[in-house]
Amino acid sequence: MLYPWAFTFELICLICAVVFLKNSTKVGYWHAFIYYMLFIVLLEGAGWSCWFIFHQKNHWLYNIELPVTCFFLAWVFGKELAPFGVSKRWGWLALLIFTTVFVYESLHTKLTDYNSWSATVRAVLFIVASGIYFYLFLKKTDYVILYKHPPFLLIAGIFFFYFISTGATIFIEELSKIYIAEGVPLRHVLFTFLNACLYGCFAYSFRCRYQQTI
Amino acid sequence: MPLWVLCLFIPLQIPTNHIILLVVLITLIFLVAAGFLLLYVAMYNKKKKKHKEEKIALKSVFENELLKTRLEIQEITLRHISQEIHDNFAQTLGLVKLTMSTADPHQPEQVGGALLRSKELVGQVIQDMRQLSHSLSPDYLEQQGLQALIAQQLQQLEKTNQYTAKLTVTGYPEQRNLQKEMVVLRIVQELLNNTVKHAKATIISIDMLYQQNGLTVTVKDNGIGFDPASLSTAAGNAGLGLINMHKRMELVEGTININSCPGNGTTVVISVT
Repeated sequence: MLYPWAFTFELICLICAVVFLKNSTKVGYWHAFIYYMLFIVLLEGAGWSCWFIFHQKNHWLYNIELPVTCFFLAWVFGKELAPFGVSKRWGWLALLIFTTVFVYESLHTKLTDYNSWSATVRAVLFIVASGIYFYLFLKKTDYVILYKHPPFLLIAGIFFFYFISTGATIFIEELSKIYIAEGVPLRHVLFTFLNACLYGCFAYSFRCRYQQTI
Repeated sequence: MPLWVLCLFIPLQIPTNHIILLVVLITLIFLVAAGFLLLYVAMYNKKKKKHKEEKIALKSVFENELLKTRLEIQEITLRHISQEIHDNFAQTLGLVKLTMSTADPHQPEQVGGALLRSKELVGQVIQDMRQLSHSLSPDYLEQQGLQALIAQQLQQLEKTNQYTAKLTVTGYPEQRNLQKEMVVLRIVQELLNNTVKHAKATIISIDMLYQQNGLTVTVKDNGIGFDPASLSTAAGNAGLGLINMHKRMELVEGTININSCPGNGTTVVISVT
């Protein structure tokens, strides 16, 4: 049985969210991160128990995570790209594309398998949105201290996670089969590393956000 | 259908170790690419920081220059006041004193004449003091406008009966900028002062042209002229006044062009936006 590192990172990130964001303003996405992280931790815990304790397939659980994360992070991107003059219509168009693929794939697989196409589309949309953010960020004349700028850290974490996981996402089925057949936990190792980066960035951005608001 | 399109739909039988290698390779390449991108953003941001610091340094230099120029203007104004007091008021009041002291109190007719003469002289001093006060006051500039103050300066010159002065105004100011007008007025005053002191001119003309993109003032005289190049290389304070005028115009985003040559008078064109 593999140690649930991802769950550990998510739990630490949830604790950071509660500690640093509990007093943040209810308007905007920062406070909502507490509920999002709580959802992620519960889902990861349920998924891990399902697979390792009850030996049941947990794909349907992770399929629930797909639209929740997609809509939540789309909200984050929408809020961060709006000051640069990016229209919300692009965000709605991206969500429409994702929803179409997700609904089609769910009807096709009946949620018994992981919706890998939806995951890929979601990853592509986040990479594009991050790219747009970085481009507009560079064009901006104002200077900010990057390692203390919460939105930048948040988006850098998202970009890092989804961009580097491209290989693992494309071969997700094969990697699962390899793990079952030959016991090589490559997918687990990769996602442990990527989760550490993602939730590390999240937790650090929560801390920076907290320092900005005290 | 091309072969590569078919390949997308046919599951490839890739050996396990190849898939592992492929995934590891793709991940590493993407890791390096993401790292480079973030590094680039960070480096570019650092450049922005440097640029901002340079801008602050430039601003500080500009503010220093502004302060220096303000002090110079203040000094010039004080010198002008001192000169006026010495050359005009002190002389005239001295004359009043002389007139009063030479009058014999036992000769009422002489006293009456001296009083009348003194009254005229004191009246002249009061008028000159009022004019000096007006020419220095920014409030008066705001109330009367640049045109009126320049006209006043020319009238003063004409009163000496040594000069024929002419003012032509075309257009009217759509938007007034008092700071810029004050700088223009001071420069015109200094130019007129230079003309009186050095040019040996008999005709002085000023053309004011208000346009949409700003104001152009042309100050022209028929004096002896000078070689501007010789002033810029001259030692001491000879060319300092002109350099200061250039600096002051730069501070209000304006320009000053001096055209002169010995024997052909001088034309100075001042432009502000």
